[in-house]
Amino acid sequence: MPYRLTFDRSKCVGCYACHTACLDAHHQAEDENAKSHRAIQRVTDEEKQFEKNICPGCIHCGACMRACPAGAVYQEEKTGLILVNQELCTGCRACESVCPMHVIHFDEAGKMEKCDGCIDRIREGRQPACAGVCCAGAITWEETK
Amino acid sequence: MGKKEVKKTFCGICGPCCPINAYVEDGRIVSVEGRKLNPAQGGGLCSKGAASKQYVYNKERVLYPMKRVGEKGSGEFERISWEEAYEIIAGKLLPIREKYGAKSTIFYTGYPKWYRPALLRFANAYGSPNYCTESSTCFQATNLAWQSIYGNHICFPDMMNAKTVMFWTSNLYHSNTPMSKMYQSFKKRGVKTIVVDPRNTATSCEADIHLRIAPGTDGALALGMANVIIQENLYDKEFVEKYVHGFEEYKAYVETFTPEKVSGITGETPEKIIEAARLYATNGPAGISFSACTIVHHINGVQNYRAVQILPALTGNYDIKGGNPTMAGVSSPCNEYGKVKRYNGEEAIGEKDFPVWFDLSCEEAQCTRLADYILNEEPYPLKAMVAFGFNHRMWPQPEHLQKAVKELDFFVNVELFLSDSSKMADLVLPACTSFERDEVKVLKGGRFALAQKAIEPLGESKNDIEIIMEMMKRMDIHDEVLDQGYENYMRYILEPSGLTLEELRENPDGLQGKVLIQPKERTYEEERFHTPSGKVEFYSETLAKYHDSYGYDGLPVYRDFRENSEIDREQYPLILSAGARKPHRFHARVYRIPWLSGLEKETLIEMHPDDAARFHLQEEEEAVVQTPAGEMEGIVHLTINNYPGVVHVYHGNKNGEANELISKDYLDPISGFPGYKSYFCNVRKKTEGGES
Repeated sequence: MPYRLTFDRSKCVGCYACHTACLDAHHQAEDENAKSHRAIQRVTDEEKQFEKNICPGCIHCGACMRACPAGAVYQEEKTGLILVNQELCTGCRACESVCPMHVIHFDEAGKMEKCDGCIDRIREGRQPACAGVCCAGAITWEETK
Repeated sequence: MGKKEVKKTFCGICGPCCPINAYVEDGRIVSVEGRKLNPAQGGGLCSKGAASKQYVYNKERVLYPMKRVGEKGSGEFERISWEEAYEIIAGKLLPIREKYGAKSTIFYTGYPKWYRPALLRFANAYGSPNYCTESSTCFQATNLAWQSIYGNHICFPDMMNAKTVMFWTSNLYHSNTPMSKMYQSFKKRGVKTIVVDPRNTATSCEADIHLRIAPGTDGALALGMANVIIQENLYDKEFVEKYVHGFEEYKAYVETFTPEKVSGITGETPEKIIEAARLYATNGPAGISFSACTIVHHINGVQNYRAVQILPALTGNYDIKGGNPTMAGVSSPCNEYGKVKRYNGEEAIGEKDFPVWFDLSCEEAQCTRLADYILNEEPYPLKAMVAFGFNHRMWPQPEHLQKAVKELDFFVNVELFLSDSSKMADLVLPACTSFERDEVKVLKGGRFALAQKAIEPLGESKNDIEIIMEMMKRMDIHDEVLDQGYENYMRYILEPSGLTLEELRENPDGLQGKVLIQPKERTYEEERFHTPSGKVEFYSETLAKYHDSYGYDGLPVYRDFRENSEIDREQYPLILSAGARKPHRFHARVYRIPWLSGLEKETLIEMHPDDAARFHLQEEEEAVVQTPAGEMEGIVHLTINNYPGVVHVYHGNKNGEANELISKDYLDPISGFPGYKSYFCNVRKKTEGGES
């Protein structure tokens, strides 16, 4: 696939910038209760006695696509991003448990919601909001050969 | 689809003012992205900057001039015209000035800071010595400590050329997130890092040495390091002999701070204290990175910081490349910032209480005791306040200040949001955000840029400086620079650089000034230090002058806040730290941004698990924090990052205000800064008598 979105939890400093940038990219200011595609997860380094809240996001690995019995999740050809066609989603939640990042949500109608990799931005030659905003280099967006 | 544009502007939410690309469609911001203007910036943003859209289009924005119609504090206002607002201001202020004198009007500025020189000009032209800022409780004490030693403005470390950097109580990744790549480069470049911090943080975990000390013991640690450096002959004897005043007295004093004794005070091991002292003194050039206010939020804050800030001079790291240089790289001259002097022909508020604040002038009055000054008419009646971004939550016991402000005859607050502080005002005037105006930005490396107006101001909001200019016009008071209008004001700022406003307009990424000043090292070889002795004052003559009258010491004497005999430690066994950095907070202002406030529960009472166990408290349990000053309800959050025995609560939250817990009289006697980061408290379950 032509692009790769990665997340390095050791580099993440827990600043929440990606969590917020995701909201900025997908929602109007008025959408106060909007949900970010990035999660918040507490991780502990026992040796250093240090805890931080990291924000894992979709790495477009395709696990949800492979698990979906309804064919609602597919890979977009040009970018390689894993997207959902909500019309086909039956709400069976088979995707939820296989997601290695635990970042799959369901909307009020029970349809699967996931990160779209900011595909509109990619088509404009920009990068996903989370990768662009990350100052620590924990989220990267790279072209793969 | 409407017209899409990318506007090159700057964030204005906190101090660093990072460059931003605003994507604008049909005159509305659709999204924001970070922008890279210098190699140290990674081009990203922090969470606050990323939430800019919700800051600009916030439902609490004040959009029109508002006149209070209900009781003070009721929040009942009615919309009026700008004309009427200016008429009210002139109609109220001029008679007050006539009757009580200009000094009875306080000119105050909170955040943002960009218009400050213009407001100071306004105060001067009006004739009041009482120009004050939020720095009465924030940064200035840090600079004051430095000035008492070196006589100049604080010198920040040259991180690009240092071989060792010592970070004294700052969590860089959360306080200036867009610089993260630069911090990460230390490891690659082989730079050694020492972090002093009671908490375990993303920054401390990367350090070669983390000195984890009890809050407020920084002075003892610095004296202990000096003890090692002098004992082991690692100090710069030539510099000390030639340029230091009071070395013998200092040396005799630090002799008593052996690593063992300092270990007992700070809780860090003697071995690590020795190791850090050796690394800093021998692996030079070494710079110290100072946090804005952490150290000075202790009642021995100024003296603690003096002990820390002496270390560059002791080790020969003052004013050298890679140390703490006076000139960090090339610069270009400009007008305004740091150049407007405060009118000091009359006594200002705070002058009797904190004389050193005025001797080591920072060109502002000291309003830390503002509530008492208003209520007690001290040193004279205070009747009016012209404020920009006045936020009572910056003070200890903010509700006490709210009550005092209520007593003013006239109070106008220029604000972005209809804050609780604004509800005490007679008039609230709508300011616009950085996205809604043009502004000349003075950047590092002698560079300048024009922050482009990305969108038209919302409602009838206006740029703060234009509001200042209009107020002055209506009162017929004049200043030669402000009388020329805002465009010319921007030209005036730029003038010494040799650049024109037109050139900046044509180059949205900014330009380097045509007039450049090349950095020099060891400037003291040509120019004496601007201190009473003309030397670096390890023994401060400015402070010693007040020894008999105020009890100040010339030496950086360590006094332990825990020896405070007035407080019953059995009743208040824990230490309270209010306002330690969080990546998504900045004082009170961003609680109103739902995308940020939703990131954690409010208000968190952060405790070490061992302390929570001791007091039978559990994660997410409702609890009450109590101090000698008051009580606050919140939610317990356990974290092993905390220093055991220390409870952290972030301030500025109307639903649980940590600053309400800090006594208004718990102040550093030199600076007047509240001991926000080391007070005394207990924590109990919300329902009394409950057993866990």
